[in-house]
Amino acid sequence: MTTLNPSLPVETAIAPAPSAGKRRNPSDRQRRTAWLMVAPAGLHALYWIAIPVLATFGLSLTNYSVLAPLRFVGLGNYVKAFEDPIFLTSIWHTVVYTFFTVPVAMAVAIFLAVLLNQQIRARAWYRAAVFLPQVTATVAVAMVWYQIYDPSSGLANKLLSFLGITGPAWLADPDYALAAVIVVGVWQGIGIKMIIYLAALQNLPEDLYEAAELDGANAWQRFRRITLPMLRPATLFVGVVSIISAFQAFDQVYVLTRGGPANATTMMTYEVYKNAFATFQMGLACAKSVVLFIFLFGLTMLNRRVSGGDDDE
Amino acid sequence: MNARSPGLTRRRLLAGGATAAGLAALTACGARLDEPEALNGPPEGAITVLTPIFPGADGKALLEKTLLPQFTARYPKVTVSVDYTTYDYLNQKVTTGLTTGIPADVLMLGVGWVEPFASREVLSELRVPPEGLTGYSDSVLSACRWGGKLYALPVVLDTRFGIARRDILAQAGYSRPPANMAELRDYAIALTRRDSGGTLTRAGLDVQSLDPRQMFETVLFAFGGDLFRGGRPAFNDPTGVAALQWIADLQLRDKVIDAGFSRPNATTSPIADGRAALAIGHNNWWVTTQKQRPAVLGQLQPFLLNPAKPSIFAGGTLVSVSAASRRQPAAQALAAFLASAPVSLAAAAQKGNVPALAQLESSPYVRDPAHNLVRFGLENLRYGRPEGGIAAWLSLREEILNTVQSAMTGRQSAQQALDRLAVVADVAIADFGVN
Repeated sequence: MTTLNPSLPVETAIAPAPSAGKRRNPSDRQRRTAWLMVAPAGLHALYWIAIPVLATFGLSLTNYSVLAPLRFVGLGNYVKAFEDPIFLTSIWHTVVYTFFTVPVAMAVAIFLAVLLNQQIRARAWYRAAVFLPQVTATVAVAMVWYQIYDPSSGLANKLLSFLGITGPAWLADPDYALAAVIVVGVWQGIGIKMIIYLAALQNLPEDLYEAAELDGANAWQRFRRITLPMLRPATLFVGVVSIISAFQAFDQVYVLTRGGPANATTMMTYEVYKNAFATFQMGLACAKSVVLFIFLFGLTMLNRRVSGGDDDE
Repeated sequence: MNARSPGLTRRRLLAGGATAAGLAALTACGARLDEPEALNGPPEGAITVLTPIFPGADGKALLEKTLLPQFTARYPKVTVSVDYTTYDYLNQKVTTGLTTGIPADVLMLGVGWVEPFASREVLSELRVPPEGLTGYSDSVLSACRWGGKLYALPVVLDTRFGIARRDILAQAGYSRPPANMAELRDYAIALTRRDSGGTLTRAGLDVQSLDPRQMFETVLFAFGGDLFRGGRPAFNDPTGVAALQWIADLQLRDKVIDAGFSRPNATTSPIADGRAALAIGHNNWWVTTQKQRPAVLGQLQPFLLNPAKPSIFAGGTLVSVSAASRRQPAAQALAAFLASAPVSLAAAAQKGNVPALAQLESSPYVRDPAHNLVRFGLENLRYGRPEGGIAAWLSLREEILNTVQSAMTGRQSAQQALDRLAVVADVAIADFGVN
């Protein structure tokens, strides 16, 4: 039997009524069993997530360098990080990279998802083709883009030459290198976003579209008034995940430019990597990781607020 | 029911966090607490070796099926497992090993790595009698020592020097390679070719196919400069600035090469396919040339950039023993074996590199006419100049890349770029605390 209490939230209001004689609170035995069940996952999270995260915070306050004895330095690494012009540059590059890759890739992904949700020939093939960059090794992707960006024989400059434009040395010119990396980032990130949007599109109720059509709505109006609002939860998810992913962009930079030329493409994650594994300044790398974490946390919260929070709110 | 879970009070959370952080810190410190077992005694036990050379299936087969069986035949109580990596990931592997307290017993490192690791007592002193060092170049051995003690031995060498296309020079009327830096620039300008649209079709001097750091150091040494003097930066003295400015001018002023014309580890080599007349190159470029343009192999002519101040860049792979190894006799024996002539020759042949021992100059591999770059490297090892030289080298070397790029792209003058690098170096040296 189900009771309905209009003064309560929906989930509570439609909850089954407790049957007489049954205990509402779990017994100690049930509680122990529950803890036992979650223990493997809990231990995994403790060992692989909680301890490393806490260690990162802890080590960011030390001069840990693998080779030197550990010494507490307080906030020294944070001061050092924010006095480092290259790290500040890397923050700016990361913001620029995120600003361009996330909205552009999301817009293209929605467009492609809507397109590939139609009954067109070879639809599965197109879907696979769009998703392919996502599952291709970045090293292989880099080889392809090296060819595309080759100043003398690459596709990019050949296309520009048809327009009478002399193309730059994309990856070797500090004025263009970041743009070149952003294009690769957009291209590589479209596939997964498109798949998520496609899944969301396939769950949209057809009757809304039928009703809109009966009301005389054209395709653009249906897209703007039905599809986009209905995709809001997916957009929130894709947005958050894409921002996190963009802030963690590393592969493209590592294989295409190594942060160069002249630090023109260095990103926060690359600086963390460089400090940790190239210069062995683990404490400094941890401090920069914490800064990155704070950025991501703040952006995620902001995104939730701007997008209206949880799906069920 | 209490809203707060009984097991998750704030106090317990804080206590758990503190314990976790403490555990992590102890784990981090643990690497240096282990004392190796007795240094003496017969070589025995299971040991590991970390190597960035012997790449691919061929390298694995060479090491594990041909070379290591010779070692284990001599030391049957020793078993060796191999951890393969590349130079790109070597630092991560070494770091991970040190952090977890289980570094490989035998480590293969690059030139410039001994100083930081030996200064922090990560490496064991190698017990090699003086006669065991016969045949090694003094310049290369200098990169194996720290504080007067020997911590590594060379296995194979990576040398860099000038390479000319003999046929292209002859077509332009040159009968010999350039004889000094000014002449090298003049040759480069004269040999540069562009099509009617201004597109570079042949670089006069390819300075982009080597890692920028190593290319700069090769030129710096040719100018007679030093990276460090007395443990202090010397690369930004007038000689160093002149060297970097010379490189930047080639690209920015003389236009002998355009930005993005080539890059390190490119699939094709400009000098091999005729897109460059001269290059600052690596001894193993004969390998790519032999695969892609065997007909021009004989046209590659190595030369000293500046015979008046003869030098070549001498990098390479060194073998050392971890101080944390609990099988010191076995690890020391394996290190000595890996630095021996047969292994050095086999490893060099597999990568197209220069074997580390002078006596291998007469080996068929070195004498092969197709391997004249290797022979040139070995014959000129007495002029070899290694990189590194200070304990804080690893904190600095990655910055040189951007320093060179800043100057080559005109973002900074050579003086500005090197002065900034000197500041970074001073901080790194001070932070490291040992010099």
